Amino acid sequence: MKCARVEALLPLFVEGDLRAIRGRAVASHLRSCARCGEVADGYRASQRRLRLYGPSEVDDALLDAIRESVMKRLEREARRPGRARLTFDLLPARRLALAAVAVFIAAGAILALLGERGRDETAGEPVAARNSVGESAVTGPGPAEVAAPGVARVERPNPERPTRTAPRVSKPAPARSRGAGTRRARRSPADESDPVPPQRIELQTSDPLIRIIWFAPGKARDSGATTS
Amino acid sequence: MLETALMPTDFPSEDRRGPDAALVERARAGDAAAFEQIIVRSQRRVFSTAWRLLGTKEDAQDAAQEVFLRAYRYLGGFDTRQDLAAWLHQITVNVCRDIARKRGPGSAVHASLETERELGTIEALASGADAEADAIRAQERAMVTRAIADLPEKERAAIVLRDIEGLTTEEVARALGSRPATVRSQLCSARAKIKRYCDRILGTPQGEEP
Repeated sequence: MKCARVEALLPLFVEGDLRAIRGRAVASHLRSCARCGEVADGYRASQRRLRLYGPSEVDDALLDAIRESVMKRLEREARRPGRARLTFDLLPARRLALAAVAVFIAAGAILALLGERGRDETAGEPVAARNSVGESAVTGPGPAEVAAPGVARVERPNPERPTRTAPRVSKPAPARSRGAGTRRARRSPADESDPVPPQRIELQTSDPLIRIIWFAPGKARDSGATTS
Repeated sequence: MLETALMPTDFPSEDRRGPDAALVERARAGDAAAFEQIIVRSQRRVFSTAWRLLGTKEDAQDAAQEVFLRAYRYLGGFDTRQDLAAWLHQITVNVCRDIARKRGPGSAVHASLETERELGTIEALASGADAEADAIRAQERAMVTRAIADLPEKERAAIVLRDIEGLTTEEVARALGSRPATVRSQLCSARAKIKRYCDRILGTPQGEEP
């Protein structure tokens, strides 16, 4: 090994930071090279000086002051519920679960927002054209729906533009326990003879994920309260 | 005596894992006394490391407090199989880095001058029969302080943790968030710079540049 290479490795050699093979090579070189040996001695002296700078003269009173200050601050934070303990309790798994819930809520909010926007965009179209896929699955094949003003909306499937679910829900489905078929089955016999559609009433709560939808029995046309 | 000074007294390497894990569990359960015990065990090293990294006692005091506050907040995420001392060193390095960034570049040298002055005062108070030896020691300490302060931030952190605090290269790498090979490179460069600086001050002949 040449002197230049050895000198480059001496800062690591003097603290035993070289791998065994390389360390042995440097040690072998130092035994035969007085000049490199002097440089190595210089590094050892420098490292000794460095250690004189080690931790020795830290005042105990100062350390006590630090400890007391930390404990007081923690005590103050502990009195404020939910702040100090929050991050304290957040294990990685909990953080992950929290992140998943946050993503879920955000996705729901975005979907709700998109749904609202879609309805707004189609507000000028004929009522029948506003029947989206999801809504038709809920509203079923009712021929007409009446909305309460303000919070409620009337939606009616468009017979000329059937939705994807329209064929499915338009079948007579007495065996279905859920969905439009059930609602249809609950209609009064008068509805069957004189089909007055149920009123689908939607109420958007402050939570964008929660929308209350209910179907009121279609009022008779003679009441004059509904529109066809 | 030198060897004694190098030994980590706060965290004996053999039996530190067991007692620390128990303390951590108790502290997690809300036992304030257990967390205070963790502070007592580690505060000297945390403070001295912060002092070496930042250069002033006031900054080191702030840093030490912040280290323990962060440690408390994130104790829930600490794996008790890990070494608590290494974890605290990691937090210390991060806190010191944050404080140094807030302080801005170039302040380390001024800080080191303050440390020199403080250490010089301490040494002056210790004057006695071997006053001359104390003076030489204070001079060397001041010189080394300055040499360390002149190092780049990462090299300074590596040399403080490895050569002054006595961590292994792997522990330093974990604390700094880098690879052991990188730490070795930083150590090599830092040791060479410190030696060159001291040789220049002391007027000793220097070998060829590595």
